[in-house]
Amino acid sequence: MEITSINFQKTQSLGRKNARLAFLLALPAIILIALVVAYPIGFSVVKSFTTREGYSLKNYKSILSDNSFSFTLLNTIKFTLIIVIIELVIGLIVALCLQNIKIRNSFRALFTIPLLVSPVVSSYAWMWLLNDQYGLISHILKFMKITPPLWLANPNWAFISIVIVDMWIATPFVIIVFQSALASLPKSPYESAEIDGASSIQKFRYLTLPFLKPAFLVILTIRTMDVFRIYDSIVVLTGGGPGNATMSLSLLAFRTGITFGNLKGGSAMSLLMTIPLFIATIICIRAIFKDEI
Amino acid sequence: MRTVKSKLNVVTLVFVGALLMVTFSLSVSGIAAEEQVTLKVILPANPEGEVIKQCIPKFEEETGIKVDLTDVAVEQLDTKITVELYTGAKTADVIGGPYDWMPKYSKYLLPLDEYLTDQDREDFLPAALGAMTIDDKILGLPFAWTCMILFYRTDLFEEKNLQVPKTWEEHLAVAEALTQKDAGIWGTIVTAKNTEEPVGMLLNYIYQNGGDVIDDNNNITLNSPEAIEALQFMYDLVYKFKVAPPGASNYWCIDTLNLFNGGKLATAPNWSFMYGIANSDDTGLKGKIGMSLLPIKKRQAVSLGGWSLYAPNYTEHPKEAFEFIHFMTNTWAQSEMAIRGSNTPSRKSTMADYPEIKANPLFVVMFDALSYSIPRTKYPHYRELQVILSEALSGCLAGTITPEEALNKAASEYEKVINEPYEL
Repeated sequence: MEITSINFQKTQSLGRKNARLAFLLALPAIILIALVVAYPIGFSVVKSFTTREGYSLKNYKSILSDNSFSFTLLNTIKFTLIIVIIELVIGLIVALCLQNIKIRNSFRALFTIPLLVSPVVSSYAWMWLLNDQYGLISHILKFMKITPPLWLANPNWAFISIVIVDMWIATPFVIIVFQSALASLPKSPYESAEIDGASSIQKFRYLTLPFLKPAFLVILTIRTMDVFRIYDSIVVLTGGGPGNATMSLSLLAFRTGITFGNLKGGSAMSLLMTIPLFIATIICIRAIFKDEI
Repeated sequence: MRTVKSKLNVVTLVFVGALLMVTFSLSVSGIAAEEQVTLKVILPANPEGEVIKQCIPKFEEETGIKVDLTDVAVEQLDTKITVELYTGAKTADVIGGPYDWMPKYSKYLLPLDEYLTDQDREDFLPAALGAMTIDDKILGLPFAWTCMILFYRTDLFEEKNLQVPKTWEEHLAVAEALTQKDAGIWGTIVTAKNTEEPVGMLLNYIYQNGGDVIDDNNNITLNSPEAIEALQFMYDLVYKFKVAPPGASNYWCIDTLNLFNGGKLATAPNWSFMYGIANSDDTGLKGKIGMSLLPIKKRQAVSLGGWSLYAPNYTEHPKEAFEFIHFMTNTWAQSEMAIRGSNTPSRKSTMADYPEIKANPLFVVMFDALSYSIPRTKYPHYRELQVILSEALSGCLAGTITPEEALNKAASEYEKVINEPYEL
């Protein structure tokens, strides 16, 4: 017993020392990241409260009272809800279909192609494809005697086009996460359900969906953050137009800060953007860890 | 215990060794840097920037100055330049950017007056050097200057026995005669994508109808009857007369180029760069392209476009930076820009030393057109005005707002920018 106790103490001591060593080894990276992340954020926060008269909430009040900000916020929320929901649905359906296909590895490789290409490059490719006069998609539709819409020139179709392009770029990520989750599902509950005579739909509803909840929440968290900050595809495809039909908060913050030289307003806008993201992320993370506990 | 101690010793040794290596290599490179100047240059990743890139080897050979080049996509150029100048990041000794952005950055730019000789000042065309002068200081030199002209298909004109249009009415008549919807051929094109370039076309139409952005007393006239009428005409070309393709609110100069090269446009208002690309063996249009001044309503006037080279005033190599700027805008480099980039030379010596350039049919029209050009640097806060107008233009051509609403909104926003300016 004494020997066991001594061994336990030695193990604990060794564990603490290894933890210190690990911390020391990671310290340079932690310092670098803190500088690279913390300094710009700190600079931005200070700038956002800076006015000609000193420090105040004037920049925030100015932005919140601006109609273009409220319109763009609503636009961005619309993008986020539509893209994330459709991606989750399509991603799950494709992942479920791929489960039962023998050559799913080949499909998996095919689906990762959009992930390998830079979003800007993908957006440029789509810009050519969606051109109403010489784009390939318009040509195919005309060949089928269908009048192609003005994909990027009509406000409603421009919104839809941005949704399609962003989904094309990011849905493979959703599929891969769901595929991994499906591959690690436990078999015994399904066997029991089979014995009890459960139908496929019942198994899906009462077993698969609950088991996939952590994967859902992870995808929801990551994609909500990504889509809320949507920028690349909009800049390339429409520039936020026609008019301001596809303007997003990121693009508006960029225009305010960089193009108009209003770095204080741009900083305030960027920080305002983080509030709903922060709240949504906290809710999702708590939901994820609540299940783990 | 021994294992942890020896691990820590190893880690410490490796860390110290790495630190020594880094310090040594930095000091060596510092010594090397003292012996040779390397200029950090930012250039736009566009046809004009490409020509400068091709001139760099000759610059390095002749001056012994090395160039460390960064290509930046045009969409990212504003961010790159703003962050560089505002933060003093010192990642650039020379910057290539649109000349009309210079007023926005003016307090960060190196005045070039002391470096320019009298001979240089005489050699540059007055309009070109004038556009580079902000608050009586020459802040850059033009490496590419241009304006829109009218390109047209001479073969299609000959078929229908049409004359080159000089007025809006004649242009409309020609466009109606040449539009063949079944064949997918349009008489002309209107560009109104929500980006900076199409604003040039809007300004051209406003000028040609006798309007302007501000009047002689600095009152904003963006929403004058002349300006609204001009925008209405652009809108009507697409929706009323149906002689221009309907996707106008998402077109820019590259769409004009692609459609013209694809034989889809009978006439095309566009920048001079289009000529070299369209008049090549690849397009099948070689020898079938005519050029003229843009048709007008009330007066001949056109918005001056172009790119210039400038240097941050905190550069550690001001003389070398000027040397680069001067080299890339000298007689030879201007000839390269003309031959390879279809951009009009801004030096008299280029036209004198290269008579083939002066005789080039493109430049015959361009010299004429540029004599009517209006520089954008005359407008306060032009960079902001570009964004305001591009949103108004694309919204109008998408049919979401009327021309009057669009320009009223633009005038109101521009007034706000002028009265409550932000300082970078």
